Formats: sequence, structure tokens, C-alpha cells
Amino acid sequence: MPRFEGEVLEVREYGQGRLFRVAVDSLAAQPGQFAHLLCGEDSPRTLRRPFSIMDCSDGSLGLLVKVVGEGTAWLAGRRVGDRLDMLAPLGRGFNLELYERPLLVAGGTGLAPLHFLAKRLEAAKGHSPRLLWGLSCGEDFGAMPAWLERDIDLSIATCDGSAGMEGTVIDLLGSELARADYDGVFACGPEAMLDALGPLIRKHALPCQVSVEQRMACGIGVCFGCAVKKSGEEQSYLRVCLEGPVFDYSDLAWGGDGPGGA
Amino acid sequence: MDSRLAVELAGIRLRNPVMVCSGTFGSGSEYGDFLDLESLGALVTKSVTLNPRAGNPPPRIWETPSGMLNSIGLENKGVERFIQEDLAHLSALELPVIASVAGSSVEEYVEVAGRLSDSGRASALELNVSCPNVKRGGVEFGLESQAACELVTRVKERCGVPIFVKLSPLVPDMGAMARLLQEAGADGLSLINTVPGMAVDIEGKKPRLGAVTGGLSGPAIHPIAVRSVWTARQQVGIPIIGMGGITDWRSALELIVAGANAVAVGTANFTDPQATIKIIGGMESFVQARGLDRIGELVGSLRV
Repeated sequence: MPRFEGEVLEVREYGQGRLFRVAVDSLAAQPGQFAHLLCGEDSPRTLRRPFSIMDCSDGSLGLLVKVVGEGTAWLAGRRVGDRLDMLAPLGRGFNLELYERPLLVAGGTGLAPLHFLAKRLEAAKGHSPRLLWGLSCGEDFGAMPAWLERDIDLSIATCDGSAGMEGTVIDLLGSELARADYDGVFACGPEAMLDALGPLIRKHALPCQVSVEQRMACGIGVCFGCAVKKSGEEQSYLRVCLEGPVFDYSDLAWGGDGPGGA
Repeated sequence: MDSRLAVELAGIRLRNPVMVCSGTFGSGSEYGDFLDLESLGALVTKSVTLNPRAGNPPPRIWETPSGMLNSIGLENKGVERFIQEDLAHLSALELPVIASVAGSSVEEYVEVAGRLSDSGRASALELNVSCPNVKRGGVEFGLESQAACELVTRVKERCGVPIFVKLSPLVPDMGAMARLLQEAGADGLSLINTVPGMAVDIEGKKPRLGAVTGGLSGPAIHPIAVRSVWTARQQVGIPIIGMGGITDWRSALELIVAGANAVAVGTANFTDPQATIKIIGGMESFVQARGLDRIGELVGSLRV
């Protein structure tokens, strides 16, 4: 049964981010899949909150939480020994087999599924793929960039140059694609960032798998609440929880107010 | 299962009075990973229309204090595929299935209801009358008693299964509407549908929902549901399925004491996929603790 209560084993603070390790029993999650967390105890929030899984190994699950509202504020207050009610693993993850020389592109907490993916690809191929990570203005993940630089092949872009390159992750992607030969892109981040990715991957004729967010209720495909716009046909939608959260970039309707419509 | 929880609705025997609301349980089988579907009283499927519908533009949901707004827009695969793919699977279960019907004209409702009835795979139908009537300039069928009664009469002529009518809490005179629908031949009422609502992003000055307005559900609307059930119960003897903001066995029993013969759980399934099972367990304990012979003794037992 994909619902369980996991005990918080560790909470590490990285600026605005909290990295939780939660105990799980024999959970086989793939990079790109998500956990749907209940927020609140006696009178929980009506809707669970979906989080991409950042790691799944040795009987524990990694989740990266940044406070953006009341649900995440409650989560950020959890401590070691607290229990989290979650449905996991849910959704369709990344296809690791499609590219020989992939490049990974993350914005903000979009790092989570791509870090998981980088580690899985490293295990499969023997070397870490390059991961580009952009932090927007005011975004601060404390010592996490320094830790990740030791852990994976990471390049960072920050809007003020406080870490890595000064600029956006899209700027970084442009120079990386001009510099080296890739045959596919994995991406996750805010919708505006993913939208800005389009011209570059088209210019270099690169296929791209993208993990997207949407407001979500059930998490298992029953309510049709987490729809995003499909490309091609007018008025056609896909469910992030079931058909996603990972999509082929070209399957979604970019431009305008984006596939998520917000 | 405690037989004291068994109830009968329009000739359909339910092992307990706890059902799930249309639109919150998909086509029925998805929640099978979380609970034994055959432990439910009955299952109401997501509304179907004659042809497939794409639904409304996103965002489609927004959380509110003690509830949520949704504007799914009746996304569905159309009645034929629903019968072939979903009802075929569900009818193999030992579980009454009530199929929810939507449409934009009387003819569409009659056609969809007729096909579902003919399929032999639905124990009953629930008419979702909170749909705009195209011929009446988009007024909801369920807000005008004449349109609602005509719909029931026409569907009843075509169908051989019991017909429940799901009403909006915005019905101007709930008691009168309930009485007129009973006279028109409705076999039961489902009270209530979501409450129309809206939320605004004050920074972007945009509506939170792609369709601008949506339906409010969750604990926030529970008192409205209790009032609607109680008002209707003063006027009719036909079965009432109470729904709207049920989160636990207490909020479910409130609706029963106010006059509902059965209850349906909706938004709470999203918060807790096992909410229905916990509610059934709570009812069993209550019935046992009070020494009741059957839960039906509580229906409409409100003392005013």
C-alpha cells in the first residue's frame, strides 16, 4: 500500500531549505516520482502537498522543503522523531535510458529530482552527469551548494554572483550547450524557467524531459485537478500526478501563461 | 461488517450508509490500492456526458480555509468508453454503483442515462443538475424547479433504475424543490453539491482558477449541507444522501440525524484515502455504544 507514516530521521537546515530524511520500508522510488504529504496533525490542511523525491536509499527517503505557504511552514517545523503521513511513490519518473550524454538543469527546489537522477545516472554509468542549478534572487540554500559541489558535477548560477556564475541558469545552459556536446536535457524548476528553456533546446535540437508542478488534490489521478495544457490541440489536458510529473517537453503548451496556467 | 449499519435506499441494499461523492473517487478502482472497495456502502462515479469533454483550463484547484475550490469542468471520456472501460470493471465488485450523469440539454441527460440504465451495470443514477441548460441561456437545470422536474420525468420514462437528483445549496427554496422533485418521480435526493466560490491573487490581480469561479467543498460547507438536508427532510419521505464537508463519523452522523438515510464522503478522500473506512468504524462503535438495533433509527431523529 503506497500510504505510510514515516519517522523523521534527520533534518538538515540549508538556508531557506530543509532536507528531511524520512524512514521508509522497502520503498522503490524512481527519480522524478513524488511523495504527497499531509500537512498538519489534528486538523490537517485539506490538500496534501506534493514533493519530488530527492533520494531513496538505505530505507530512507530524502525530501527538500522550502517554505512557500502554510503547508510547507508546518512541514518545516517537523523535528527528528516526528512522523509524516505520505502517499509515495507517485507519478511517472524520468526515463534514464533515452540519452547517452544528458545535461541536467534545475531551478530552486527543482534540484531535488535532478539530484536523485544524477546519483542514479552516476551509479549506472560510472560518472556523474553535469547538473546546472540556478538560484533566483533572494533564494538561499546555505551550505547546500558547497556540499553538492563535492558530491556531484555541479555548476551554479546566482542572480548576484554570490555563488557560481552571475546570471540565470538559462544563461549558464546557453554557455554549457555551446561548450560541450549533449544529446538530451532533464529539467525541473519554476514554470518561467522551464518556459525560457524552450528556445535553447530547440536551437540545439535536443530532446528534453521536464518535471512540472501544479496545484494537486488526490495525487492518484481521480480528481483531474492538477491538469496542465497539452501542446497541439486546443483544450486538451494532462494530469501531472498520473501522466506526469515528468513529461516530454514538446508535449506541453509553453508560452502564454504556461502549461499550468498560473 | 456490523449488520446494524445496513440501510436500504430506493430498493438498493447497502452494507453501510457510507458512500463516496461523485468526482472524488475517479472511476472507482484507483482507491483500491488504499482500501477494500467492497467495504463501502456504495460508490458514485464521476459525472459522464454523451461525448468526451476536455474540461476547464488550469489552474483547477485552490485550497481555502477548511476547504478547496475546484473547477474541473466535467473532464470525462464520454459515456460509451465509461461503460466499456470503467463500469465493466466496477460491476464485478460486490458493491452498488451509482453512475453520475451530466449534460447540457434534456436530450443529452436522457441519452446518457438511458445508455447507463441499459448497460445493466449501474444500480442507480445520480443526475448532476448543476450544469448550464444551453436552451435556457445557461441557467442551471437544478435551480429552476420546472426544468429540474421535466428532466426527472423524461429520464424516469427512459430508465429502469432509481434516479437520485443532486442539488446545489443555492436552490432558492430547498423544501419546495425537494417536494416537487418527489412528485415528479425522483427516487431520492443527493444534498449538496459544491457551493459556488471564487478566490483572487491580489498581487497578479487574477482569479486563482482558470475558469474564474469554482465549487467550494470541504469542512467549510458542512453546516450548509446539514441545513439543506434538514430543510428537505421536512418536506419529503424519499431517501436523502447527505454530503458536503464530511471529515469524520461525527460530521457524517450529523447529516443522518438531520434527515439523511446515507452519506457520501468527498474532499476528505483527498486528505485521507482511508477516511471512509474510519467513518464506517466510528459509526459501528457509536451504534454499539448506544445499543441501537440499526443505524436507520437515527435518520431524521433531530429534536428541534
